[in-house]
Amino acid sequence: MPDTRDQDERVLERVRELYQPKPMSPSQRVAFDAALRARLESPWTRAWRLRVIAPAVAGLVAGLALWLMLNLPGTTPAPGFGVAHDTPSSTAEALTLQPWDYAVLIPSELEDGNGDIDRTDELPEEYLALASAIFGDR
Amino acid sequence: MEASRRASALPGATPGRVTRSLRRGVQLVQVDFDDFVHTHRERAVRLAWRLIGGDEAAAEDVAQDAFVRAYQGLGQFRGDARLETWFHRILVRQAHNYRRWRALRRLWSADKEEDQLADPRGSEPGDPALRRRIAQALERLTRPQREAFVLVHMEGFTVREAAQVMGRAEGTLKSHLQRSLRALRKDLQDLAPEPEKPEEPNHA
Repeated sequence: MPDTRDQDERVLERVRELYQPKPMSPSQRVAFDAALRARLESPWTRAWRLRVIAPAVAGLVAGLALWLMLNLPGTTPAPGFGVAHDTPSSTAEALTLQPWDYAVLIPSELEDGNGDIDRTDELPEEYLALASAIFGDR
Repeated sequence: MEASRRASALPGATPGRVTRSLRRGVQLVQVDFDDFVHTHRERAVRLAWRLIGGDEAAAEDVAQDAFVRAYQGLGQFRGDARLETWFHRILVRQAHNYRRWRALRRLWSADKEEDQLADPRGSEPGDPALRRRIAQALERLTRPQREAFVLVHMEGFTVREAAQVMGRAEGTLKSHLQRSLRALRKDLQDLAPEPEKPEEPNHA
């Protein structure tokens, strides 16, 4: 079995050897220093500006987000918001009604099994006579 | 402890040089930031280069960001660690921030080509393909494993210094080092084959 410590050392040595940037040239150093100095002297990198600007921008963004939430149509909760509705499934069921379902839903059209209309739910004759006397025949 | 914001006006500050003063206890210590940059610039760029996966231009940007942040934050430096350790902590965090932004940019542009890990210019010494393999192997490590490995095994920080830079306990750091080494041994084993044993003399 190979010694893992030796193996680790060899891997480390190779990684160190292969994985390194080229040294900075004198011109690169000069360019680096110049760019850094420009950034340090830039008014935008001064701490006090950042301290003022960052909270101001954050406040503006938060205010805008709040305004959008309150004023955009469709963003206010509808009445009954959060209550579960079964509308989609009811609609789906309504769309798939079979012909015999209508007979169940409309009692006046129920039949007694012999082909006659079941009229047990209708008004008695004297009530019908009174209704025709008052409202006339319709 | 408070750093003066008008350090260039302090006595002892060389005109034209970027300096800051730090209060350590009762002493006012003048920090020549130019000197600090000159001393740590090369190592900062190299460390950033290794942490972000071998991109020279990005490494310089990250190092500059770290110097700018260190300069701005000198007032918050409490002096409970060495200035160098404190600066490297900023640098490591900047490198991590850069990696996050890069990941986000890639996600945004849906550009998932893996060859962005290494510098395509190939200006660094060594084989670009091998360098890319190492970058990808480092990429597969977790953040603390990668940072611990680069700091200790590649940049020569002691375990204690690296633990301070990363803000972790030494024991935790050792554990990260072990795991990272195990993972890299598995990934890059073929880069370091066992040396051939000398052949037995043939007596026949």
